[in-house]
Amino acid sequence: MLSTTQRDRRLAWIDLRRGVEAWNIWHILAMQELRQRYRRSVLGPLWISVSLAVQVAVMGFLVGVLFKQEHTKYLPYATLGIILWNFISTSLMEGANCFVGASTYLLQCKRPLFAFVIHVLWRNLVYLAHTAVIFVIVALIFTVPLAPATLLVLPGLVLLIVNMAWMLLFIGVIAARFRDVHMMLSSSMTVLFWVTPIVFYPEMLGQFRWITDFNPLAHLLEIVRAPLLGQVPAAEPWLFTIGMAVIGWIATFQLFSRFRARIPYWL
Amino acid sequence: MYEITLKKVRIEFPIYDQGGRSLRDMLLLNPVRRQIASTVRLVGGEITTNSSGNRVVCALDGVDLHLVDGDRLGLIGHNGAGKTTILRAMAGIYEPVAGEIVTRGEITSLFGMTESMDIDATGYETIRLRGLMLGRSPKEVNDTAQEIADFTELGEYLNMPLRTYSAGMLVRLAFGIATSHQPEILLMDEIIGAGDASFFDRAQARLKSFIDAAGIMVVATHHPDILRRWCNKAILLSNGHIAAHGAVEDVITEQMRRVNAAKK
Repeated sequence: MLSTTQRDRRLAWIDLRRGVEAWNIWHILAMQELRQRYRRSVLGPLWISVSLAVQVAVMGFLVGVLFKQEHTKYLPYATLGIILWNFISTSLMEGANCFVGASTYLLQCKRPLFAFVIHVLWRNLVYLAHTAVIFVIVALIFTVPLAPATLLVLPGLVLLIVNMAWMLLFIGVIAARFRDVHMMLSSSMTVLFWVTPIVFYPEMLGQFRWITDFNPLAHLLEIVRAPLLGQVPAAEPWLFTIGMAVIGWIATFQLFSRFRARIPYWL
Repeated sequence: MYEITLKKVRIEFPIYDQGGRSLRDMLLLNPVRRQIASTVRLVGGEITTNSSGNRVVCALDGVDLHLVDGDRLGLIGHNGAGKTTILRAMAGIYEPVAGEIVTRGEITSLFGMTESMDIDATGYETIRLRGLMLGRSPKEVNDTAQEIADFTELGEYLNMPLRTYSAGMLVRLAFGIATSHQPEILLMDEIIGAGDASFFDRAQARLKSFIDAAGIMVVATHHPDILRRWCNKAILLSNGHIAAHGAVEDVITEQMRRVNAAKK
């Protein structure tokens, strides 16, 4: 079922390359949507920051109290957790809609499919930039140290994005064919939220720590969060996420090569 | 040198009823739903089963076609005969399951233009968005914007959201944008229409120079007059096959003959 010819793979590769190059599609569409969503609102895109601030204030504070955590250390940790989780979960859920939602564009003329994956990813990165402001404020209030380790956030972010890209493409292809995927993802997000160390520390799980050790999302979170808290992530999350990027892209490329040409028929 | 060549092109659409698209039915193979799925009927294409055992509508089969510079092809045929499918196949959207499609030249497709318009965007934003998405540079887009503004006579309205436009004004904008760039290969699903009486003549003139500038033009239509006016050859499609191919009048006569035969 997944047998592909050399021609399929070549065309899939061309699509990926053209998709990346087509900034005129993904950037323009993302900006247009951002403008559209906040048109006629007073705060505009600032709403992204405001709603996250409220979420962090309430959730971070309450859960901190419940877990009897010291706010100075816990709040920056939870804030980053919530910010990054919002980015990851929203991207994954919207990824299910990347081709289906773009059907008017895809059935109008030939366009690289991958551009519409980047479109979703890019839009969510722009949102991430708006929510990151909240962390900066929290970091200033609780004086999170800036260390050389902070610079590791750059490779961390790159790895996060590379991994998100294959996941979104994978989900997008499957979801174009099976429309349940979107609902399936939405309902799994709550479960994933609780098995991922977003508002708790992995150590708190005690003998159940393996739950986070085998959770890919936990590792993706760690390589971006730890540097921003001034810590150097251990070797394990790096190796895990690099391996995930390689294996994920190989599998997704195979899937994409096989079904790329079929996607317009499914829309 | 522009070209469109179709060789023995076959295009099939998988049929998914609402259940067939869900994972649940894939896994449970609910027999009742399968039965319902098997009763789906579309006007036109033949419903068959492909090599993997899935039900498919065969939208085009064994289509051979060769178009070169100067060709103005009209596509006619009943609903579901495959007119839109063949246009999308020429545009490279649907890749055929069998056969081959070769095109040379930049393709401008004028179908589905208004579907993706955002009513909250201003006229100018719409012009800009369209232009950039078609791969034009910001400078080119600005130049065309001026030209479109002059042609549509929308003036100040270009800075207002599309929701404030009347239907006729929307048509002016869509038409202006659609015809603002000289096409190499032009694909149209029906000739794009055009506003009120005073605008109509200018629109016709603009449409004429627009079509004249194209290397190859293909238009799908239900109106014999459009074929006579804009085309120099025609194809009659029927159930995904080319039923007649040749001079415009001959193909129209053949279609009339078939329609009359069906009435008897």
